[in-house]
Amino acid sequence: MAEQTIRVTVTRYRPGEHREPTTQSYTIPYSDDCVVLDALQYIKDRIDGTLSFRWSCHMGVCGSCGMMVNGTPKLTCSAFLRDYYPNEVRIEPLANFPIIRDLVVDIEDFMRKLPEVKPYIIRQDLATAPVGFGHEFRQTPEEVNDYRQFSMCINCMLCYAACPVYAMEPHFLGPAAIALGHRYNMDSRDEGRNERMSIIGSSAGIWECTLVGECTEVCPKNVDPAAAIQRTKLAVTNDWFKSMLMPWGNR
Amino acid sequence: MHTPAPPQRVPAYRPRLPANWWLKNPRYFKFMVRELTAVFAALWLVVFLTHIPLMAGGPEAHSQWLATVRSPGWILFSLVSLAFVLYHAWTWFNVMGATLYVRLGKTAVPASTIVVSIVLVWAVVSLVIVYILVTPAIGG
Repeated sequence: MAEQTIRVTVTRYRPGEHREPTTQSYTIPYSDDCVVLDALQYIKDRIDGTLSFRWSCHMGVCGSCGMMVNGTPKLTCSAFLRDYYPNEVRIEPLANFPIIRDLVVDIEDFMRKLPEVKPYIIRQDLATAPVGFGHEFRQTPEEVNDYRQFSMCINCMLCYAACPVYAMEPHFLGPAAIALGHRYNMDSRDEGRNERMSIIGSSAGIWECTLVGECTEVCPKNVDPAAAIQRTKLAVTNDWFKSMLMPWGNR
Repeated sequence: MHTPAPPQRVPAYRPRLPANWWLKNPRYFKFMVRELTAVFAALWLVVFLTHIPLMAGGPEAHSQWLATVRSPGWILFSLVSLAFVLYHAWTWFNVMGATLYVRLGKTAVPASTIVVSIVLVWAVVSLVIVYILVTPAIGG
């Protein structure tokens, strides 16, 4: 029996050589247990060593291999060729990010925005709190469930590639950064909510979001960034009403 | 000692969002329809509100206004606007499932329960409003 093959079309861009990205097609052996990342590795190993792309863990944890597969942001290590076969698979760099080379994008913008939301536990007593067994900041399982979903983010940036608001307003803090800020705001051990809200509640934060909702659809970890943004909008609005109705209240 | 020049980094290529981005994904399209519904809701309200001052013009102006709102064009525009507003309301109520996080004791209230309860409240309030508006009209 003839070997089954699949056609893979990949974006090529060489800075300095190409004025704008072009595409290149390869026909490679197909098997139903291969993922899109396997196809890229086959091309790089056997056909064209100049193809550049990012990847690391190959198991949906590191968040490095996000690319557009037939126009949808996907972790290429988790996108099976069998879901596209016998049709062609089109692999492009993650949308809404500057392209450095081939399938590699510049993630500098996200790396700058992420620390702005202070995605870590903030407490006044961290320095003086007793440490060691029996002195942890304890939580009930219910308190963990309040933020657990939002802590699953692997910073793969598929949500940024799915977000037309981010495409049009590059200053938008974006879905993952806001979801991670929300994760710490919902943490019963945290006291940094007010510090974060000045960034998250700003015009570059939640209020840029028009709730397209595609971030939630493409998230490989079911984080639901759209829900995080909506809940934060509600919380900030409540804060505002409270400060209006009870200006003496200590928020 | 010779210091090698730092490597020159070629600026990255910045792709532009095509104008037809919202036609490429059915969910983007539904989003644009939802945004468009707000335009119809706003237009209807603006037209309606600009008619209110006409009431001050006496019975003649009022009957002229009644003739306007009974014209087929206005009724058609109102029906289209109503359909859009209902769709908009439906999307808004649906989103409440994700927006409202309510933990009762140990478990979070499921999104579906929140949506169903809010839609029920909406239906009851709508029926009350219809009752209040219709009762005097039929002389009750």
